Amino acid sequence: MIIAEQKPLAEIKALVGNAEKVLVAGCGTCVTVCFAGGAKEAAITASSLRMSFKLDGDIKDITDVTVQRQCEWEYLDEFAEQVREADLVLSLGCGIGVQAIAEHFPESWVVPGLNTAFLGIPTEQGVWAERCAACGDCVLGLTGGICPIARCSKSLLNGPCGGSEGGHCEVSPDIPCAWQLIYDRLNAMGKLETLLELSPPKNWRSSRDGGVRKIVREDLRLVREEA
Amino acid sequence: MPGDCHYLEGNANARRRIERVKQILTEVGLEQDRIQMINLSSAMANQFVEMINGAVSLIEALGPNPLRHNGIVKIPNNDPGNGNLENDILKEEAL
Repeated sequence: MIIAEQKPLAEIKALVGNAEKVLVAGCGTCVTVCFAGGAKEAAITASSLRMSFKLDGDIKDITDVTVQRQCEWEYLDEFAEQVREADLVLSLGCGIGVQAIAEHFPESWVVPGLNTAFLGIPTEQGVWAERCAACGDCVLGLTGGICPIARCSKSLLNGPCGGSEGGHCEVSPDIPCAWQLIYDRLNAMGKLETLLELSPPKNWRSSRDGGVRKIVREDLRLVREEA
Repeated sequence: MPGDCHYLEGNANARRRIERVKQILTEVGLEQDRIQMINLSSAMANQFVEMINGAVSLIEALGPNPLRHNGIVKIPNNDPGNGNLENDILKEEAL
């Protein structure tokens, strides 16, 4: 899922600026699970903003609403009226949610309340870790289900590098060496021979190097009447 | 007491959450000392009185909640108990 964390309140207040009627919009999917922008966080953020602005002598009308997903038009339609009535929408969705609101409501001003961090998993309660870099050309079948693109600090395809020490990355002792993890797993699975084959340089055109990405599935598109 | 909670790790969890609330209060611009957590057992009556008296003195020194207006507490029309910090604070202050 998408992992995000809230911006500092001071930064959010600066983004809200002079807007008088503010709608804090939570999202019920990824950012709810990572406790950054769900219904509870939207209510706390709205309360915090009301109190903080009031302490500044600035009484604003700040309400909150949460939709199931900010990244699909049909869910955004649910709060269309509230969005249109607001001077400003503070989205607690990920960067996709913010852009979806901006695109779906071109007359409304929307600002982000979160910093979208990465694609990952909760490894334990209160801890989230990156797992996927969305490179567009998955190599997990060669690496025992451990991603060297997202989890090796150098995204090496033929690791480890010389900076791997005691199973940890030279970037930080808190980071497990992905290639140590890959070796250990392949060893445990009796598949070490997989490592004998060198991977050629990765084609990064499926990642950000190819520009903005888009997938079109003609079989899923709605049929349009031909003129 | 820490490590000896009727709800197992409940008071340890509560302490971390109180720290988070203190962070939020600081960001909002309120004094973080307006919320305190103390650990007591049911056999510590004297300490209970001491700590409550200390808390009262602290609150008196901090003064009234600046969000109160002429002693009237306005509860917003949001659902209570859904992470609404303002409601919780205002209700506490109203007591």
